[in-house]
Amino acid sequence: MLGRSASAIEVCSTSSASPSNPGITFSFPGWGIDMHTDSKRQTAVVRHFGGDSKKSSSARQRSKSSGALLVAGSPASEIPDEVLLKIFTFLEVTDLSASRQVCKRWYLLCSSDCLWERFLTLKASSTSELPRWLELKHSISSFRISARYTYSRRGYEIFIEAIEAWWRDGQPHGKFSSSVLCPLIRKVTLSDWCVFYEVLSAAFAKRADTLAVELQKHSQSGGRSHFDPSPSSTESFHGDGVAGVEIWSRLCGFWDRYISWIKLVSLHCADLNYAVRLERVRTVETPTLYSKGVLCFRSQVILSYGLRKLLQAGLLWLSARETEGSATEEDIEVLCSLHHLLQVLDVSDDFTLPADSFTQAKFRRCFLDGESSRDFSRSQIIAARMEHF
Amino acid sequence: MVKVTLKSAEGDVFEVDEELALESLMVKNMIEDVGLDSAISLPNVSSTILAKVIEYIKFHMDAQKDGSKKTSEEIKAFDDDFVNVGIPTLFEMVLASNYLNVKSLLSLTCNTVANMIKTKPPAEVKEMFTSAKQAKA
Repeated sequence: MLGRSASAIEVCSTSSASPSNPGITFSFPGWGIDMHTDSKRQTAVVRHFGGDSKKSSSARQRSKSSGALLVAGSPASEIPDEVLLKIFTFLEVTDLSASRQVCKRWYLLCSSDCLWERFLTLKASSTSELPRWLELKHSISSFRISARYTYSRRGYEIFIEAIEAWWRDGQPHGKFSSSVLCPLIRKVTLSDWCVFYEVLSAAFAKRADTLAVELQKHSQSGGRSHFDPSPSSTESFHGDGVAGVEIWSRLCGFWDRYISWIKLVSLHCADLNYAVRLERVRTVETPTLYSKGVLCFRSQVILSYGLRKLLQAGLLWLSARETEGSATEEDIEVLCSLHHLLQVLDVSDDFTLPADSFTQAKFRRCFLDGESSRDFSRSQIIAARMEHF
Repeated sequence: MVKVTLKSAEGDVFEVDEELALESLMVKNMIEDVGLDSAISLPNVSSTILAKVIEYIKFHMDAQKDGSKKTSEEIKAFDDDFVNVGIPTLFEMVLASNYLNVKSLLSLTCNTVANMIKTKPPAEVKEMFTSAKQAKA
């Protein structure tokens, strides 16, 4: 018995290299407690906080390795982390960022997401994907957290204002000039590009919706109060066709303005597009801002209820006139531009969204393949409608 | 009424109503585990602090009872007065309420500490916490 305990001391004193305090040391990382069993098999619990001089060598080594959480002289080291966190929940942004400068332990605690979450009006959509989220956090740690907070909240508001102004004026100038917004965009993108991306997508969708509503107003005020769902007779085919062509030419005008706006936004968000491209390489096919804008136009305008059938009719009518040879120059011009538009719109779907929001197949069926089958039967219309809902 | 015996770090014995003792979730768990026969020893809480905690719980239990004439202003005045102590005592109360798991007192004391941190530069906060520690030692 005696021999065994003696050998235990030997083993320990060689391995832990602490001649003043030989014995077996049990370490409980994170507990702040070491248990020493000396040769008389008495157990002593040594708590080593801040400036405790009784630290064993293993404890000293550990405090080094664990990011110097227990550095000597660290204030308030007696108060456990969870209580400090509780105290910090009563603090506001400015005090919280000031508290980060008190000591390293406070820095780490005050950087906790749980404290900052409540300040963010837009909750990060990506908190469920933890690894990417963590990676992001590391990449932006060079920013002061209060700055990040300010930018992420104010940034979205300013940016939405800015792109609305760009839509009105057609180009950035004055308060929302490129030189003002570019640094802001970069910071917002670095802070959390996923949320920013969603914000922009929502803005695109909203803009496309507005256009669709405007177009529908024109289609209703354009002489025809009601729309016959079964264009069987040539008369109504002709009528729809003329109305459709009118909508098409108007839509092409809208499209030019819309796409130059999208290009403008996309151009200013080079960092965001870069992040999207990185994400594409890593996981799913995320559309770039440009494709996202095109997708919004396709699903909200071209395929929207009330416009799609008129547009289809217009396209068929124009194609029919062209094959008959009775098309005017104006008709051919519209036909050319809308063929071009249809080609541009034929982009792949946003695979980050659920499958029921995919529109490419429907779009092709309605506008690209549909040209071969001139008379769309009633069943097809019903099927298309069912699909729409 | 059933009494619970609490023993502070110094060994002083406090006899309190069971109802009052159950406000501390930690004591409640202890009673569930070991019963009411023996004294419940609280080695992390000194006599002065334990007395203050009991005073706090007693006041708030009385205030919540039916027929209590205490207004919310009076309760607030009591709370303000209660935490109007030196920083070392305040920290001890924070630790004690955390250890005893008295939610309302923990919130009150933490809020007080937070108010002391507010609008102070980091150096001053550091000073405050370090001096509190030295005063205690």
